[in-house]
Amino acid sequence: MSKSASSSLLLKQYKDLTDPKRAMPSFRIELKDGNIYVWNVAVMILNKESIYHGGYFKAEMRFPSDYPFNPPTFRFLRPLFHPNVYPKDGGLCVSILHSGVDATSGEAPSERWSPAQSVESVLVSILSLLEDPNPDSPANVDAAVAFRNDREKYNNTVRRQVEKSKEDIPAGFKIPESEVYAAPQTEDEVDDEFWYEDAETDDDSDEVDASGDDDDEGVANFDGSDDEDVDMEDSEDLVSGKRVDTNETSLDSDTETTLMKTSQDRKTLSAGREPLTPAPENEKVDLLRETPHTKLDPHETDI
Amino acid sequence: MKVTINRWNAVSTWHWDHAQEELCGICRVAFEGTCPTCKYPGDDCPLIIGDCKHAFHMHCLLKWLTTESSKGLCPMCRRKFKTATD
Repeated sequence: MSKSASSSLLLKQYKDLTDPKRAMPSFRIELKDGNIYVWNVAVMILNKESIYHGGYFKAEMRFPSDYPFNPPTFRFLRPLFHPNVYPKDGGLCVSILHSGVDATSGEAPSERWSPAQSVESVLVSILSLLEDPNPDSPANVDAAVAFRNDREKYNNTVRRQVEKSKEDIPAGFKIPESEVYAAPQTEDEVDDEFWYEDAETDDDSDEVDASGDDDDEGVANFDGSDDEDVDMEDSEDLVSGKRVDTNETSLDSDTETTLMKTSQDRKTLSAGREPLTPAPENEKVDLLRETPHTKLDPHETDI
Repeated sequence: MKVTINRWNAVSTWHWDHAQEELCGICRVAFEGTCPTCKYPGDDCPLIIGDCKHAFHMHCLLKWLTTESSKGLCPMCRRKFKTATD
């Protein structure tokens, strides 16, 4: 029963991660012997500034049958010289893969596994750990010491391993060039353009303060959603497009009046500007363009 | 013109009165669907909403809370999960 629950969830995430339109180019994922609980993952570092750039690091990810209530395990199949990779078995020391039981690790519970994590969030954490080692909680002491004190040696060892890892690249496979999602050049392109344009216009048109501001705030809030002080109560205010910095005890009626006031302000503003530019039209477009941002949110939280 | 109605089919839709998210953060199935162990959506597989305003399929959340590693925390914000009272 629970087995079928975990396998259907894994299948869904597997499909998402291998869908050519949505897959992250840094990962190449296959099932091992068709087993949904064991994934063969190849991690590719596409960031040209990283010393791991060009590597094709094969790894194995195993999921418990009660996934997502317990975290998967992840280990590299070749030795990888990295402060947070165990030299013995290629296992990875990253807090997101630890369940909350382990009290000795000293990790904040906020960094540990929770069923709200996904394979994608784990992979993203691994990617960022590879590029940005954490020598303070080393799994490989030699690597941590070399990383700190003898960067030359560290880099040389890594470079050798990167070269070695290239032997694992399957025939006919080319490592992607770009870190950007490998979306084909179709309609999606138009979408990207749209967002880009949107950001641009926001920057250009500072006239209506409120619109520019709460855009930023909204995004910031969703990124740092574990910020305990920002309640979901506040997010209603965010969505409706007004102030964030008021007191916690935000009276709803108060909010409403403020909102009304601003919309009035906007009207006066645009009315005042009318002779100079065809402002009302612009305003309308601005407001329309703002709305897609709220649509963006689920996507953001996905990551 | 006179119209006589011989037959009509009524169709209705429903959704939970909780609009913040669409999917259960644990099983990633729509709230209006069921948790992986249930067959019928709706009252048979209700939602649970915490003081922190995070919602889940009740069965998914209870299953998480029975694990030792959950420490009784909300999977989303890791605050102590307390069912919202209202």
